[in-house]
Amino acid sequence: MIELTAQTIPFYILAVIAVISALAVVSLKNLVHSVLFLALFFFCMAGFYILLKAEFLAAVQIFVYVGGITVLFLFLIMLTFKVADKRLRQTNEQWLIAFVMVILFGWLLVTGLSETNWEIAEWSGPEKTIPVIGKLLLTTYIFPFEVVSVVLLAALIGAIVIARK
Amino acid sequence: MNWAFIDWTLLAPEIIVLITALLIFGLDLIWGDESERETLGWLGILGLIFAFYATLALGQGGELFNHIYVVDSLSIFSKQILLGIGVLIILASLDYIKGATKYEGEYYGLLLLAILAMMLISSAAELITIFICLEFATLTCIILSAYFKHEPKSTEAGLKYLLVGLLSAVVLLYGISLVYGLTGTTTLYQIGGSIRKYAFQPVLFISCIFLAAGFGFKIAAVPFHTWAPDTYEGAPTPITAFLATASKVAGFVILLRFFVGGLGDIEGHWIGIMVTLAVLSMSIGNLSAIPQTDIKRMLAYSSIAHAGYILIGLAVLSRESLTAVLFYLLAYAAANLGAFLVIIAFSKWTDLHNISDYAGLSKRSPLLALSMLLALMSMAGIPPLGGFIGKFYIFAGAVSEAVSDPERLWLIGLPVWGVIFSIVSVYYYFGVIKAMYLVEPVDTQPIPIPVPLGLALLIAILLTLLIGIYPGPFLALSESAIQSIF
Amino acid sequence: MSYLYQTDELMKLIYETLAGFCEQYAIPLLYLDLAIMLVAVGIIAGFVSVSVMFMVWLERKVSAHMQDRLGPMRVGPHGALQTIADAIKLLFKERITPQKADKWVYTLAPVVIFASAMAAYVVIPWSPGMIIADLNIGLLYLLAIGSVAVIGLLMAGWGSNNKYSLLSAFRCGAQIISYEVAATLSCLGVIMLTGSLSMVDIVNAQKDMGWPFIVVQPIGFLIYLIAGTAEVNRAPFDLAEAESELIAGFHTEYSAMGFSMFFLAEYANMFIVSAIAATLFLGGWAGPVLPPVVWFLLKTFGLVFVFMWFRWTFPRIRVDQLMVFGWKFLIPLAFVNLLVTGIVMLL
Repeated sequence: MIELTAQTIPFYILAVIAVISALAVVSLKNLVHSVLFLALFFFCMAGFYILLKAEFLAAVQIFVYVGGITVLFLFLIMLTFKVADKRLRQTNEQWLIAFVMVILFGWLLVTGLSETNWEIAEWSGPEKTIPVIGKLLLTTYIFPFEVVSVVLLAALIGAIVIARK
Repeated sequence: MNWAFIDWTLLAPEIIVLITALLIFGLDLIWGDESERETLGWLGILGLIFAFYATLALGQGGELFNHIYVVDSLSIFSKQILLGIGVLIILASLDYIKGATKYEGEYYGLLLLAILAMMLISSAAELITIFICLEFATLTCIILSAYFKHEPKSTEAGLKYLLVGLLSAVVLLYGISLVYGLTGTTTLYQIGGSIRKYAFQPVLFISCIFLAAGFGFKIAAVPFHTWAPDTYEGAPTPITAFLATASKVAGFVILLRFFVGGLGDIEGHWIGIMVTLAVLSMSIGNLSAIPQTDIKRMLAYSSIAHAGYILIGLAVLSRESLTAVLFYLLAYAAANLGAFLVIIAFSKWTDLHNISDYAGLSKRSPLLALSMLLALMSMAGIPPLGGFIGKFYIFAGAVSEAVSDPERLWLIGLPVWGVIFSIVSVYYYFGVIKAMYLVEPVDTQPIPIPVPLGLALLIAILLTLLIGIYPGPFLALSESAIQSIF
Repeated sequence: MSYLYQTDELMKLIYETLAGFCEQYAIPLLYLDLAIMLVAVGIIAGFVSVSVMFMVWLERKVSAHMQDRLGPMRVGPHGALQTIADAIKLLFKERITPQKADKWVYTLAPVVIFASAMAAYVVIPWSPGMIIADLNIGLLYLLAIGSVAVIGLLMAGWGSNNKYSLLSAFRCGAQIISYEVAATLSCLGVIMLTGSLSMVDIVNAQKDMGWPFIVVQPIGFLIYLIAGTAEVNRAPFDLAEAESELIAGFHTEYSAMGFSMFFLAEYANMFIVSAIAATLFLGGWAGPVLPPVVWFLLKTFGLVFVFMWFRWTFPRIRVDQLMVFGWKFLIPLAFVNLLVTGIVMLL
């Protein structure tokens, strides 16, 4: 079932790292360590995008998630009074229920996904994806693109209103 | 894409609201600290009224950007409701927000952006656009819920809304990606066409669960309701009213457009989900409302229960029942606004939120007490008010569908369940009424009603009465609205 | 001799010879590619160490002469071997880990910073054909990799369990994030003119046009230069080090190998920023008479010299001035630059 080729070997390596780091994020007791593993996880995601020939997405993934969001997390955790040094439990009394739900959900997803006949398309995208993405964003998807700009404005104003004294 | 062929006038209401919001932000920035921010609120009302006029001129509507944005009778109908709610909420906020926060101007601007987001939701017909607009609405509502940042309860309201909202967004996105993976397209129009071939597809069922979870958060249906009581309780009351009405209208419209309009041909995948949500929401919503002592929490649970009644209409999936869904939304919004406007006036004056604090309201302010009485009676479904007619149409739609199709006879259980819990709901609504009329007041000081709020209250209560006494035109409106998707 | 000028031909020749060799002995080409990759990494590592040593020596000499001193004179002619001696001394020092440090984070931090600096060399176009990988997303890749270094900084500052280090890491991180925006925006003008993010395409576009982009994007170049100075945390933006306030910065607790990695990364980053500026605005390898690689190095080290010049000329600015300058002046200016570029291109 598992084929080892030049494409699949990097995938499996990345997948193993991704799963391990994701588990580390939700199980480590030190928040800073969790966030660092989150960064590793984002790197693995970027790796998946490269394997799917979406280099632009991979670069944006690193730029935004690793360089932006993770750094923001780190800043917040390190600036929050003494949270960075504490050993926190990441679970509460309901962990057993949550665990059962997760297993059930995972089973549902895995069986559902594997029993589906996905239509697998051959790669037919263009060699250079960036100009195509740019063009699509400004023609077909201009509407959501513009809405995003208003969303960002609202987020900026909201952040100032909430955070400022 | 040829830009010349895009009918920009279809976007006129949204553009007007957006420009008004930007104007408010700009003026707020330019004006000195001493200036009256109330003017900005009136400006917002003016913008909303203009936008309402613009919706009247849309006529038959049309679609934009290859079915990414659809302006049909359903979206025009819901935009009109949303704009109406917006006007009433701003009217109610004018007095409430004054002096309560340092950022009055931004409050009106963000409120307008929230209304804009919900208007966009009601027209979005493409997966990415739907997701972005939903997140837009959630984001603005989070900010507004946490607006009184020095009050721990308001912060808690924002935080809970944020956490549950994020979770539901993730789940929704997963569902969306599965639908995209199956169909290879993101517009509902094409999804509807290409999905028809599936008799039953496990992945489609899973993605329907995920989508229902994502939208269920917006309409606060059980089991995705956990944020609602705390957020309703802690948020500034006008925002609670906004969440309970506008957010719910937008959530139901996107639910209708996505499931009935987009996935209507594979209803076998999702009818069961809707039935489950409806039954759970009706039971848990009504039963949890009974022991509540805080009036906002009580109304939060009652709004969850109402989501359950409305979901019956989706589960039945006939022309009649879907018309009833829209009609019920209208009646529900009017009654709920009425109740919340009374709470706004009361809590601004007394700063009390418990049901027992409403003791003797009939003596302190007969007008407020009467309005509350009518609103609660409408919600309890007592004739001849709007809520009664709404419930009647919802249940009648289900019964007639069950009777006409022997295979779907089980549908009869839903209205039966609904009637039982409507009777249960009368109990907790009458708890408030009893306190207002039969208990002697502790504090006999009369409660003043600010003029703008009084105006809004008058509109809401008159509408509740009108929908009940003369439902014809509203029903016709709902019916023409539903025709664009079913 | 002409291979010096047509390095793409040279590279092709080398590759074809090796490929023929592989074919003869039936070795899969995959192994050849892997071997080439390893060799390239080796060359880069070698170049980084040598160039950093040169830059350190250069800095000491430049600062000395600006202050009317002689600088290092003892080891080698004009002290040319001084840095080698220093490096050897550094490597033989004891490796110290503070007792209360977070061991893993503390140890990995220099690796993260060094790796992100090294990774940037992948898309630097030295000369025609001489580039490790001409990625479609070249410039975006550079910016993305550059942003990773902030995590390394925060790891170092937090992992050392030292207040000064953490403060410095915060300053440094905030500074890099703020000026990254301006740097990215200033690069966008060039990208609009080229229509591509590939570094090779950017150089070729300037070659075809006949003059470097600095002529049409002078403001972009200036913004990039300033933002670049801030991003490598050099004076006048060296608040992260600010010896008088923070001892030495986020690497106070590091010694021996850890310290040398930070040191290497710092100068490697300066080289990268200069190389990007040279490629984007000064035409990269393009130039008359001299071989392309010489042109590239000349332009890059010329900019390195400018950075050193800055450092020994301007006094350090305050942290609030730094933020105000970045957000209220540089970024709006970059936007205006972008707008004007767009309008001119439309007309």
